[in-house]
Amino acid sequence: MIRNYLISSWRALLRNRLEAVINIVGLAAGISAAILIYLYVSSENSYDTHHKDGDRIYRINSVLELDGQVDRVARNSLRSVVELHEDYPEIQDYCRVFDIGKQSIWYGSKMFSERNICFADSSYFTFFTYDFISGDEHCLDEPMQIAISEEVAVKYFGDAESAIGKQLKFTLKAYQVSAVFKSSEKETHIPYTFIISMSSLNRGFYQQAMGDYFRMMCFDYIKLAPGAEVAQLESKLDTFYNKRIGPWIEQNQVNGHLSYSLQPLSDIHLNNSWNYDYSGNGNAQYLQIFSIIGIFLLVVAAINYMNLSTARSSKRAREIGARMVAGASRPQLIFQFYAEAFINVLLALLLAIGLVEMLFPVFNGLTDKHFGYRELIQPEVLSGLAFLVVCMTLISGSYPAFYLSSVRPIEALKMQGNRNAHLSGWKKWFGPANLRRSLVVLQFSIAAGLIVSTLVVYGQLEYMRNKDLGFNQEGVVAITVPGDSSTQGRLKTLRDELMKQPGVKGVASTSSIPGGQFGKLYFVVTLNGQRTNKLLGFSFIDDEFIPLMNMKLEGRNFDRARTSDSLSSFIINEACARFLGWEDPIGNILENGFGMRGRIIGVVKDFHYASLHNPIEPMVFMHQPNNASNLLVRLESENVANSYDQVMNKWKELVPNHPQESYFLEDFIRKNYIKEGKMLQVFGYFTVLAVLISCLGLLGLASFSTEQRTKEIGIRKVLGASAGNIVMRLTGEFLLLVILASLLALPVTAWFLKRWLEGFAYALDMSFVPFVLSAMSAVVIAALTVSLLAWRAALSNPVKALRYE
Amino acid sequence: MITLQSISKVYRTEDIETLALNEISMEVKKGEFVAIMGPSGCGKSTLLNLIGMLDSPGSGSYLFDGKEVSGYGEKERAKLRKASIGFVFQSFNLIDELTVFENIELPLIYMRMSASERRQKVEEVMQRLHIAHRAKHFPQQLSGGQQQRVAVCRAIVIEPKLILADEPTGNLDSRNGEEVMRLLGQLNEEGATVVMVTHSQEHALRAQRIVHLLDGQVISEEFTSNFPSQKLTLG
Repeated sequence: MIRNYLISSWRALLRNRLEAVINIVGLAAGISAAILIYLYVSSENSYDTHHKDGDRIYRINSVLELDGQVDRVARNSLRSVVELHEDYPEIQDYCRVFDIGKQSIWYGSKMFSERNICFADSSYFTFFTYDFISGDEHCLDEPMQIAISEEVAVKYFGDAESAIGKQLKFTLKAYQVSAVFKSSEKETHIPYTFIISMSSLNRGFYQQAMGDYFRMMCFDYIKLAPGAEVAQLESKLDTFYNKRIGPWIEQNQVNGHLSYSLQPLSDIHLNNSWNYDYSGNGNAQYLQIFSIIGIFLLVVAAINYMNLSTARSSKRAREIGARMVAGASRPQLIFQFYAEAFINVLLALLLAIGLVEMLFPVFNGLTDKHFGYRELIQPEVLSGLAFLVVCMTLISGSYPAFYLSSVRPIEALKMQGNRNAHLSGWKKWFGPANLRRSLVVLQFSIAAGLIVSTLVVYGQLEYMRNKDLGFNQEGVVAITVPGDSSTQGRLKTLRDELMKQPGVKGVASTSSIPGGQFGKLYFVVTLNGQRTNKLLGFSFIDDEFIPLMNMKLEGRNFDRARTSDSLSSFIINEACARFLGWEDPIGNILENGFGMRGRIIGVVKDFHYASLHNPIEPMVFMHQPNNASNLLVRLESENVANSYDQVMNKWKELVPNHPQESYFLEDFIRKNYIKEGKMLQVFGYFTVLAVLISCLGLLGLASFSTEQRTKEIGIRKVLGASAGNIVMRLTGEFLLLVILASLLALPVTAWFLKRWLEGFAYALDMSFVPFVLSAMSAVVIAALTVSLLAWRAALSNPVKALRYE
Repeated sequence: MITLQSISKVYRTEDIETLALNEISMEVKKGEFVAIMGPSGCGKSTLLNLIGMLDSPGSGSYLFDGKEVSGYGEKERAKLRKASIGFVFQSFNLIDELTVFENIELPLIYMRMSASERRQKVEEVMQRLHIAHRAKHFPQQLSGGQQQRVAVCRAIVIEPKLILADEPTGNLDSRNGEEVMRLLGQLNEEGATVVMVTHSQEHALRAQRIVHLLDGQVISEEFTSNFPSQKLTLG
């Protein structure tokens, strides 16, 4: 019997090629998009699930409260976790990871500027699971030891095997390679490729840091003892505060509070609600959005199948009637429809797998992943695909299976040619024509929703890219200045030499690059006669910085000639003045955490130092012309590329023994919006796909409808209807459905988009324009799709049409 | 074999109610060949569908082989239908995607007969109706007469107690129509009970008895020369 079903299904497929192509290609497109999204989502959800004992590892995040100012940070002090380990037997072990940012590293004549470097406790490799090529998990037990990744070993030493024992030189110290580990094939939030033993840290620095609970410099991880309950431990942390931190706060006269929150290891990648966390972390919200899009695409594709199947139902009625008369029972007919749906879904799946293979390079580029065929043959993916086939078969085959098989044989035999006329009562309401209409509305609601979302995401991205940041970033090159004393000591010479280069308009120095992150520091201010601590953003700049960046300043700028400006002067931004409640801040006294006390000499108009995801924060500038980690060089707008080459050639000449690192400020700022840019691309691709699949379905329905109405078209033409009249008649119903779909989708989408925009500190004002545009484009696309067939039918010879019937 | 007592059938739509059969009573004996005649819309096909259990009566009693079947649900009707009744339609109702062989085989599949047994029966019936040379052809590749011959094959392959034919010659030219009538006559002679709806007086005369319908009622019944008997007029 199954053979009989398969034969008739296969032959039906061949006989109705257009419908088969629409069904299978549409389904394949939907499934391939869903597979890609599934791979991405499961990869993002798999972060740090591979570490041995990973379910017992937590990161300690801190909530600092200082004079009512709350800061939630992913980092902690060097000190606290050591004491927590002493106080609580529930904590089996701890590991502190101190990220030291960008460093220059030398080996022989090779030199590179590197990131992903940290100091870590010797327990590092018992917390995070890596395979070793050489060395073992005790590789950080001794001072001056460094463990490196395989790629780093090959980069510096040519191969991984000979790396052990060799010295990598940093600016101040050299470390001996004690282990080479394989980069994890599994996903992890830990980015480090250079791990230096914590015992190598400068003793003085270490001792000083160990004396402070508020110096948030490390990522602190703890491993719970087997059987220990995290909730129980969290409930005891108040006791720790009272016993350890409280007395310290009192002793150091800090008006603040500190509490801890334990975050599971596998939760870190997607939960990026903590400040100063790893920048490469994922975004749970985007993951949800992509998952929804994946489901939408599958639904849209499944709708095509259901729609075309029900449309074909009247054409197939004779077959069903004949089968019933020949003795087919209802379960047998249901089984037959499911078998047909199964064949379609299976063919679509095979095509989808081919599509996915083809799309991997593009998708990997978009998502920074390395997906390949290996991911597709993972047991969980294969079982997922099997589940998908079952679900899609059930979804797409259910309506034809249950509706058509429920019709009595005599109804089935009478059904030919007419749609709902033979039906009465509930069957008419839930009959195939109304179901098709509802599904088209649902399909185009999704398409219209995705179109408007793409437009709004694009609008927001453009808004962020083009918003006036309060400074001029165009034509500014940032050069990283090595931290060694010989380079820092020549800062003035370097600046003067660069100024002499043709095409250079100005040179300034700063400790933090606009558009990036800036440090925060405690300041003491006297407000209402009371000394209070405030955590404020800060940057060390020289006197050229403010004019070079075209910032607007009230009061006066720093003056290199006045030595007092480096010792006792501050410039703040308007947000800082507002935050401190100063209406006329110039002349007011400020004291920083380093003990420097001075007056406010100027107020800079608010500007966006950080990305537009964050509100403008209070910021303090301090004058430090002889010490800088970055130089900013403004180039003339003419011949920028040429000027840039000349500047960098000169820099190489001036600082030959350090790796060069430079970039345009505009590019640097644009990187802040990479996630949104990629989301836009993904949205764009999937929107186009959803619209295409929907149109494919509409094309199928229009083809069916035109075929059904051939006789009507003939009669109308004989009675004098013009081609335009016929086209209007044929397309009108579909267009009404698409308009209805837009009307239903847009308010719902507007609500979701409003919520998404609320996540930005600075967002565009959502206008009705993208909504009107999206509704119009949905209608125009649908009209074009349907009218293609309608025109063909309208221009056909009416006699032919009548003879056809 | 078939006894109908006061059978009525009403079709309702939102606006109108149509009385298709009005208290019809009739009997068909085993081995009989009965033709049903009447103008369009008189209820001929409705009556045939009720007899064939493709539809259920609104009221009245229907005894099939001595069993009351008027209260049967679709499931029970389908069970009885596939075991006992063969259908031949005006529009053939063959499945376009299946070959001649597969179309004829279909009822046997639903009876869960083994493949070898099915093959034997289908080949037998195809030989008998001279369509075996077309076994691998699809319905669209056949003439109307050949298609109807396939439909007849499909109807008789289960060796039904009753063959119901709804205007079996309506879509055929006279030569092919004659051929189909010859087949039905032959089947009847071999013992099958045949009930046929037709517009053709000539074809009706091939039956043993003709039942005339008008407005959903039996208005007269006559025995033809094939069943030597005196003519009866009922009202």
